[in-house]
Amino acid sequence: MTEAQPQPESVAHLFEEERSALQKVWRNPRGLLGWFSVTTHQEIGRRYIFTAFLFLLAGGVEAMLMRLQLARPDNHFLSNDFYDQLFTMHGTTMMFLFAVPVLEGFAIYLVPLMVGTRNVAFPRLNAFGYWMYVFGGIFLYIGFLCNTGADAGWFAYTPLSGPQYSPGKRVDFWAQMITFTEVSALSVAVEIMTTVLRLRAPGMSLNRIPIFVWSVFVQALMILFAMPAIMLSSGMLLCDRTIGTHYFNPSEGGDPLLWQHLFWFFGHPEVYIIFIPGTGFVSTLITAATRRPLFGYTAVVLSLIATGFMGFGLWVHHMFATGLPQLGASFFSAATLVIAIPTGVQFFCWIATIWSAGKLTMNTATHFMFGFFFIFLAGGLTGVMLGSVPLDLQVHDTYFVVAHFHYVLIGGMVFPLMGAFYHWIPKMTGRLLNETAGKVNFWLLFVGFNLTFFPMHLLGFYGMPRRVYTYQADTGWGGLSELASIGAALIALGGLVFIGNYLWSMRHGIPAGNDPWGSDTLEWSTTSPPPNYNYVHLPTVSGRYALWSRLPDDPVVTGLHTDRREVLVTGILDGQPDHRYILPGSSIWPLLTAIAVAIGFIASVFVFHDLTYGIILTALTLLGWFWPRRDPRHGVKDQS
Amino acid sequence: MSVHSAFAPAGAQAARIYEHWLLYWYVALAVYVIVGGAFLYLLIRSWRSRPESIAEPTQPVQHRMAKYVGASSVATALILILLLVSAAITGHDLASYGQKPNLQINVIGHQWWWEVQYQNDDPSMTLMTANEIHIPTGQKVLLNLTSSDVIHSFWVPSLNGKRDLIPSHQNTLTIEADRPGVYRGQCAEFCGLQHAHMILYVIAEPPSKFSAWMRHQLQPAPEPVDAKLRHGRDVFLNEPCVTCHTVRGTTALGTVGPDLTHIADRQTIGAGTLPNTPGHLSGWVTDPQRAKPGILMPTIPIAPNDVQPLLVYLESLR
Amino acid sequence: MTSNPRFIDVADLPTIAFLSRSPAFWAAIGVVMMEGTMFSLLIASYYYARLGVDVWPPPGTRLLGFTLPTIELVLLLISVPPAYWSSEAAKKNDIPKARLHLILNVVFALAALAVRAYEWGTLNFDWKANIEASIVWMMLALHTFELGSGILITLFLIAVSLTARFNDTHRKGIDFDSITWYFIVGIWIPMYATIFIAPYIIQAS
Repeated sequence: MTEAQPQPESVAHLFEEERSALQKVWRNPRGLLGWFSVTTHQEIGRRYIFTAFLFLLAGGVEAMLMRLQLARPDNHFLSNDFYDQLFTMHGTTMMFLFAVPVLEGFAIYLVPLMVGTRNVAFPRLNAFGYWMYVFGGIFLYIGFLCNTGADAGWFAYTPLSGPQYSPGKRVDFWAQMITFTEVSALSVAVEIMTTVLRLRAPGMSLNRIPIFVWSVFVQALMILFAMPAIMLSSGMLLCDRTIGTHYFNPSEGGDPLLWQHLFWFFGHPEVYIIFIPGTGFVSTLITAATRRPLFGYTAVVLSLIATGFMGFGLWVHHMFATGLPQLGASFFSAATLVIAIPTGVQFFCWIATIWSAGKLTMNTATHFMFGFFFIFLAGGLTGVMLGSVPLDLQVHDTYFVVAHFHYVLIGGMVFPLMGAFYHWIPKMTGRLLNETAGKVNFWLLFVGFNLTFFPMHLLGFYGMPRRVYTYQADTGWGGLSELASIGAALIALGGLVFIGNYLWSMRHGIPAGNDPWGSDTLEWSTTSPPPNYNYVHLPTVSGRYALWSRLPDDPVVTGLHTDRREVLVTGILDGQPDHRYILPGSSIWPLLTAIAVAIGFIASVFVFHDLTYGIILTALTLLGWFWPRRDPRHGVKDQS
Repeated sequence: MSVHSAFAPAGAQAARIYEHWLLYWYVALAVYVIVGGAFLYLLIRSWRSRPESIAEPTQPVQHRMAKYVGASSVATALILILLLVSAAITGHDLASYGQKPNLQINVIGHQWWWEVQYQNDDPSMTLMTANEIHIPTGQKVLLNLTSSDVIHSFWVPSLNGKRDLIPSHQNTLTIEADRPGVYRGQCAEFCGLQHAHMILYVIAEPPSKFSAWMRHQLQPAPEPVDAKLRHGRDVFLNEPCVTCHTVRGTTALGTVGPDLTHIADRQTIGAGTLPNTPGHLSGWVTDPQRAKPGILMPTIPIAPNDVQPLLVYLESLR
Repeated sequence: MTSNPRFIDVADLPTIAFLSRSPAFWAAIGVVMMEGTMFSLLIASYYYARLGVDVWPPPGTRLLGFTLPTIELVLLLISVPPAYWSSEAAKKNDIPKARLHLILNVVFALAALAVRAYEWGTLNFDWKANIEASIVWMMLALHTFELGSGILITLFLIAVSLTARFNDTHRKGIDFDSITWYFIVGIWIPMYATIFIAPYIIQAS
């Protein structure tokens, strides 16, 4: 490494040369084949977000239909069979096809920008993960549209979901879709983990990593430990259903509760996988709104890690009604309550941040951030209630739980996500979203959400169980149910306002410029939208709030090749430059591999041993993926 | 009019849980008011234009904030410990209510009805019925819960929390009603197409009335007294009904569906789907798939002049 | 772009690194994390099933002999040092030596696979017999898939090392291959203990 004093006149010329070389090397390929070969993180991140948003709309329509059916007692708007498919599809879509992918999309888009590099560590794996997600979602929905929609709930308890009580292909489609989306999520988790550990800008030591990056890093680690559980259990279910194994069949020594243990070992961390990046958004938005550093950075990071770790010790609280020994249940009850402490620490640090700031920018993103505060707080408190075994035994599997998890998931993830949209869509597209429409958007969602879900707490106590396609008039549940359905209409309206705002702003929105918010993280130092290579010279960082601590003579990184895609690997703890890392360019092999895997997965749902064809095809496409090339862009002899 | 709310306890267990709930509710309310109130205060105070400077808070301010964050975290932990202790004590109390039951009833879940067996050391005193559980007031009743097919969940909110009915597992739940009444319950674990109509009633009566009910229920079906009733019984015994249903005192010994020996005594048909009136019973018997689509009872065509006698016979099964 | 920036020039840095300095290492760690969790849960399921029944092995399966499985395990363990030596040689850019150790590794791995194929053929029950059969079959199937994948990757690297196109990417690939191989053999130890040794300890009739 050398430090040089450059000549002033040649600097601008050199810069222009480098910029156009980078432009050429990092360009996304054109044409249809080119579109399928893209491996840049901005494009793939945007694709994840856009696709997830489409699934959000689908899940929303499913919810609206359910609320129409439940608005009145003894309603015949929907049949019981269709309703059962709807609530299964709604839960499955929201959890697997919207919530995790949209956060992955933001992680893929923002992490390389925020840590100061040009792409994720494994660009082709990134593309592969996206195609697996898309194929899985399409597979599930084709089933739904062909009257083969999954109908045993998003949690598919055995024996109901087993071969005897759910004959046919419906649950098979569900179980295999899980495999697709889990492979996708695991791919993203590996990339994010590696990118955060190894590709950070020089100077970005561990204690200078932005909180959002920490949150998706913790999320990635959680995914790596949690997703295998559901891959295993859904695989076991498929085997029970197609080839006669007995994992969950009591008459041959299997146990229906084994399913619940394996599912919830995944299922509980899953909700923290969704919630933790939500808090990452909040910590970022609060910094932008107050233009202050986050109070208690270390405490917040430790809280994220503690929450991620403890999240694996709670899963039995979904099973309190199954007749477990009291001692075991008490342990999980204690763990369920204690996990509120790290989340509480985050809340108190946020309050302290705003308190010592004194001033707030009340734009739409800040509105949504406050929406999170008021809604998630309620959801967290009802979560503590559900942690008590006696209380849970009354309200488990009732509308009280439906209220609770919508408060924590919508309050804890969707509201911060809306704030994130208003905050980062200007960076992604170059246009600010309209603020007036944004506030209308916020109020419709805030009022609509509370109108829909608050009454459900009461319905649970009044005896209304979950997953019922109708209810009788003499239960007295009609009034509150109707209120909830009206609220749902407001939510739908809020969603439409958001879509309208986006479409309008793309044409007429105020140009954003590099940094409309005066924020601290690195992405605001480049253009909106950023070029594919993010920064002409990779930045260095001298403080926790990169742009706020930047000095005029802060160094940038030079010496990386501009005739191939090259980034810098730095030390895990201290962020010191270590070696140069060559990334692959565009490639069609991720798509072809995803197709091969999809063929294997889909065929095996119908004829189990067709899986072998999938394995052979995948081996061939992987051969193509890793085929040794003479092209220096894909690997050169050591030059040192 | 039945009672079915966890906020309207009618037994010791539900009442104990309700007390426990009140602690959690007041604590949650207080926390929400304090923390939510802090956010509200900050919002109101902060409603100003965009700040210009990006200064770190001063050291004394940092220090004060750190103390508040620390104190709040400790307070959170203490409150959680309090709530946990309350939960443990409540759980212990509920378990103690279950000691030395007076009566044992087996409840077996089916898609989509409740099989009820009153246990007795004397086999001639065991009773099979369905969807309604009569109990004497003021006495502890132990329910032995299991399932013959998928997972169901027994839940009568006014009497106690719920317990799952799991195939190849045995669970127990104790209920006790303080006063006479009809307590409604519903299956609380998604069990398929008609999960929404798997309703049950616990009917609590003073012990003397309960004993009288028991004695009456143990009687087999009365012999038909006239030609129309005989015709009705013959229809019943010749149609496929007997493959699934039992009527004690006849040759109908099927166990796939509910015991019908005293069907006319029950308040509802189809596990709470319809009120037990002649009109509804007629609709049920002639087309059960229309009344409760997806159930295992098939719609069997019955000759038109057999329908009325059959109904009259069923209504005589008191 | 500031008017008088200083530069940190990295042109002299190498383009290759091994072990934890390399991104590929972390991909291998990710694989270990996810596969390790999956196999651990399978092992846990085996013991969970045992808790739920009174007779073990359940009717339909039998106590399995452990002579052949132990031989297979020993062969797998012997295949580990060559994997280590091959990645050490790759770091020093000694391709012929790396190739030699990769071949040694593959030979022992294939021998182990052959023993496994034989003993699998002597199982007189299939996955439909009972819960233990289902779990044992899934353990065997998934682990054999991992074994096979590891062997195929090693064969690929051996083939490429014979051509002129062998480059730094493949040197890192040897590193990745070794780390995943340590895991594949390592995770087999508790699985071997569960399938072949534990039944003798936890049996009941």
